[in-house]
Amino acid sequence: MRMDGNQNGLRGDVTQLLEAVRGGDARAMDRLVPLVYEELRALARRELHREQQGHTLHATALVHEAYIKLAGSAVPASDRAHFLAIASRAMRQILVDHARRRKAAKRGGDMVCTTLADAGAPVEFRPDELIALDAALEQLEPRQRQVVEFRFFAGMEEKEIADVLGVTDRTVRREWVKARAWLYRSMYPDGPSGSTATR
Amino acid sequence: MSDERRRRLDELFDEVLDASPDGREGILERVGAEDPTLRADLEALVAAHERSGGILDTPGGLATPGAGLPDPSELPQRIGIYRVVSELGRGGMGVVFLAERDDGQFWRRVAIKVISGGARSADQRARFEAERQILATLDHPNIARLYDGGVTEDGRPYLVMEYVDGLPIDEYCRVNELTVEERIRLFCTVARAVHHAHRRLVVHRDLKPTNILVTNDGEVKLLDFGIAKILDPSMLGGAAPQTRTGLHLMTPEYAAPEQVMGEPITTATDVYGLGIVLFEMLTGRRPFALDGLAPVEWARIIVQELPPLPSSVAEPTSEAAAGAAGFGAEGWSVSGEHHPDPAFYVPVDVDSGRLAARDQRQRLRRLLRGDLDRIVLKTLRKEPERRYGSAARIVEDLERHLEGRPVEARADSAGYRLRKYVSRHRVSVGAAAVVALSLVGGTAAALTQAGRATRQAELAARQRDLMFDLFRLSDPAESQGDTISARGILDRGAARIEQEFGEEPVMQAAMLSDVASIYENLGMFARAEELARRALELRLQNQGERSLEASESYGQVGRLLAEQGEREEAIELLGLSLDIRHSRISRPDSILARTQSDLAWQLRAGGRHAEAAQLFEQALQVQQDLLGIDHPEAASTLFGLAVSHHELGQFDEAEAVFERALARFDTATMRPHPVAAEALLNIAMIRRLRSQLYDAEPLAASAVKMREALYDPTHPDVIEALSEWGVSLRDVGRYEDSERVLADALDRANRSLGFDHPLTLTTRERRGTVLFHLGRYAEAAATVDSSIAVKRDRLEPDDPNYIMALSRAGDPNWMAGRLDRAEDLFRQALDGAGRTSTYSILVLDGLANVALARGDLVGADSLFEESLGLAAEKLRPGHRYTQTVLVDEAFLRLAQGRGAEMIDTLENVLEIRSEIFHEPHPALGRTLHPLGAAYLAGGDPARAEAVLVRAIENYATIPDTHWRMGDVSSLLGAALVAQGRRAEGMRLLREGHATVVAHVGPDSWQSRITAARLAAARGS
Repeated sequence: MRMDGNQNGLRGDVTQLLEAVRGGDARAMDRLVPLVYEELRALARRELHREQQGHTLHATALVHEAYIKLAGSAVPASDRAHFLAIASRAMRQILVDHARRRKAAKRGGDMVCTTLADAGAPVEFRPDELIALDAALEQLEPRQRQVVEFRFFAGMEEKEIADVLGVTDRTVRREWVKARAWLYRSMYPDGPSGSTATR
Repeated sequence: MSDERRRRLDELFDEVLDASPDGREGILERVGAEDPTLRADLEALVAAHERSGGILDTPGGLATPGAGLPDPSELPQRIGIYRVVSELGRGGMGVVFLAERDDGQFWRRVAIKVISGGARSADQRARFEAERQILATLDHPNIARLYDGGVTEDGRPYLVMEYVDGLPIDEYCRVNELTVEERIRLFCTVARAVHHAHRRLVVHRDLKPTNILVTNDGEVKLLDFGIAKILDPSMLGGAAPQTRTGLHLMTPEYAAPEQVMGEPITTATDVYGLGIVLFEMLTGRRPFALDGLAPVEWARIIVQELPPLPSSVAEPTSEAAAGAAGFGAEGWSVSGEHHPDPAFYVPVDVDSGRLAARDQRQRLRRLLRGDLDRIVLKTLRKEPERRYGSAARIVEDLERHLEGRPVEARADSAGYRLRKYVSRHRVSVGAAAVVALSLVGGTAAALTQAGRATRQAELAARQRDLMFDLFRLSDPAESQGDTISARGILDRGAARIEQEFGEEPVMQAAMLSDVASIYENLGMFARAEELARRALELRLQNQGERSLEASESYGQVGRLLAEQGEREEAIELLGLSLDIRHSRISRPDSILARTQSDLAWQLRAGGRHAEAAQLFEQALQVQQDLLGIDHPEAASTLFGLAVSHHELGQFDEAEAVFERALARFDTATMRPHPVAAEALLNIAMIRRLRSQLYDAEPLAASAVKMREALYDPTHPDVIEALSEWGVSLRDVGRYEDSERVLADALDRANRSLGFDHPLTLTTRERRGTVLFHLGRYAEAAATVDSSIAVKRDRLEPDDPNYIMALSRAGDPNWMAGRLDRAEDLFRQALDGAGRTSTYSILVLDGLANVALARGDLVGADSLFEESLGLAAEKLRPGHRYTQTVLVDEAFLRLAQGRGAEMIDTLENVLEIRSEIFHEPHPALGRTLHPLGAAYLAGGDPARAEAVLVRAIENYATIPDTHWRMGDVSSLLGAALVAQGRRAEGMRLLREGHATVVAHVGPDSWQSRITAARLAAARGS
């Protein structure tokens, strides 16, 4: 991709695009998404290549790395939030694609490993579970879906999400709680007693 | 589901979430009356809402920390029998409320922790309850009590705990400006409380300042003891995936490596937690800066990185300190969050403030350096079993520290002494690291040669892992700051290479050989030799007896033998190495040249100067072409060549080579570096051989200084430099200084190299010589005698080193009047060297002196003649040996009554020596002394007086009690008597004689002369 050419130039592009996105320029967003997406895919491929077993992905680390690479670190926090918002979508696609490939490779029992944003060592997910989440997300209202994507796939803070969406923190929290209930309702139809023990 | 219906459900769900439990029921009933399926859908949503453990509840990052928890707006009225007053805080696992118990009987405030998720099954509740019961038995004044617990109406477990109103311990220390000692005592209280819990088998699991509060009264209270375990999903959830167990309940900054790794949590985990708390209390910061790092990164840091020494990072944290420091008070730790970013410091414009800050920091760091560093690091070991065995042991050690007794952390550390060694080995350690890292590249060649290219990547990876592990595992207590314990790395590395690369002998040999070179750099020759021999064996077996690898190993072992003084075997192996290499390569290369040079040095040491010179020439040719004349190896060869020429009597050649060697170095601008030190020492030796003694001494002194900065005090290179400096000091007449330096060098050599190492022997003989000059004959004789005993066993009778030692031993025996012993030694030397060897010049002189002392003037005469004849033949004119013999001969002439004949000769010697030595110098004194006697004998007492006074002045650096002082006084007395100053003269004659008697005894040949002189004066 273009990374190998003029990285500083690209970094400048991304920074400008982020500014434009913040300013509400929808076309800038259109141009930014593929950049972020491609970068994340490249990083994910590299990570998977690096890992012999090929089934672990350090999601948050990937997002952070892509961000540093594309935008550099000296960007306002609000731009960071916009970037993460874009990255969250890409991460969702990458992770779910990855889960599908795992499953297709008849290694459905393998875990898809991601990394928690701020408090954890690697946590593993079943491919089935990620694919189910992906499907359930499609049934959500757009704003709830975004909250889940931002929070779950990009590890964004409540406040960052509130800024990007232009709502209050409390709304974000409430949307999350509701989205979570909707998702669980469709993902775990066996109800509240269907704890992890049965999965 | 239609969008319409969906929106409706969403709204109803909002209502439910806003409602109290009772209110929820009302909503559901109302909806059910209207539309039963809608109620079912709503109920399903509520059920899903109450569900836990789904993918989105992955604790921490990707999930919302507060998911499923009550909103602040949903503050419950009551929990159990407690009335909720306010929310105290919330975290990933739950909310803490401040509540009151007021049942009319008594009133108390409590903290209630409501746990998210839930213990729903009877089994889970039973386990929660059991654990709670255990915690409730913890009864210690410094542990917040667990009073009660239960399950809320909506099924969430809660714990009722003692409410503590206090400050986190780190903040308490800061606000109250506690001294280091007060902090330690406060910490000890914490550790004792932890120990109490440990004895009841309760582990805290999450020790951190915010869990350790100190009340206004200064009372310590530990919060949340054992709560982490109760909160663990495996405790409540029962079937949470194993990978999640214990992971999410840690606070990264305080997590122990075993927590990050998901390994069993024990009391050692709390010991680690205490270590971090202590670190923070003492230094004002945490050992690792994990802020803003990706989890993978901080996990790696916790498991792999070594914490810094507390003393290297500590900053004063008290308010007063911060104020005086000119930093905004706590601008960098407002909320307990520590910002290493200097931007958080707010400098003020008062310089004195900054100075005070620096002083305070230095004082603090000084307090922490040493014991406290060790204690903290011992609590922070990566391996649980290497930490303190219990919290109480930390307390004991801290108390020992406060009482000034030796701490366990120090005694325990096997690497303690080693660390000192390594810290003085910075350069070598650096070199070790470079060599170690170059292993990866270095053995790729070996692999290719072995035709195993397919496995190359795998092996290279293993090798890289090995190196990585070696550096990673390096123990903090065995290294100082960023300095790694080279010794530790190497020992582990060598062991692992032996164990793990057994099926890859080619690579194993290459790695062993590399590690051997590192030991060699560190001066650990025996260990290096062991590994090099192992590599040699492997190569002989696997790569052929005449392979280039075998040749290199022969060379390496040979060089190591040479370092250890095993000259003959070294010569043999270096020769073998050369022979193989010659036959295997088309044209000479630098490895061949280096081996030639190494071999030449050994031949030179064995007195085989012609062969040495030839090899040096060959090596120099190649090194000049391939490496350039500035290369250290070329310089070494150049110097060797110069010395060989010199010893072969090819003085012009030697001179030319010396000039070339000297021209290459500007000694004034050299910076401390092994090569510079080597060059300095070589130049010092060249100057000494060229009799530029006063130029040589400061260079030798610099070499000592440089090497002492670079190496351990007992490193062979340091001893070598010290020994050389000792000789230089002797050469410039500073005998006492010389003796002190050589005694020191000898002491170090005996300890680190062994009694019989060539350098030890050389140094011992040098010390013997200076003792001789100082008139301490018995010590000198004993010193050199022990050297001879070793050399007799080791060396051939004609070995120059043995000859010279015998000769050096003969001198003090002669002076001390043990003439038979002296003669015996000189005879042995003469038998070994033969009568035509250069070395026999001084041996014959020694025999002549003995004969003279015996009064055998005829025998002495012929021996002096023989010695001088040999000198004329073998030595360049003006050689110092010749001067020595001429001066000794003068005493014969004086005894013969022909002293006046020697005036011209001695004037000449004086002239030559005056060019070399600066007054005052005993060598000049030793010349002026017989010259004065000669003038006296020649009937010129006035001249004699002047010369003898000069002699005394030049004897300034030998003791007043030396017989030479006595003899020269006696002569001066005779000169005064001859000039009619009888009283003064007689006094000097008597005093001089008394001095001689006191020094060497009344029956000595020296005292017989002064006695005779005194008698003659009395009779006149």
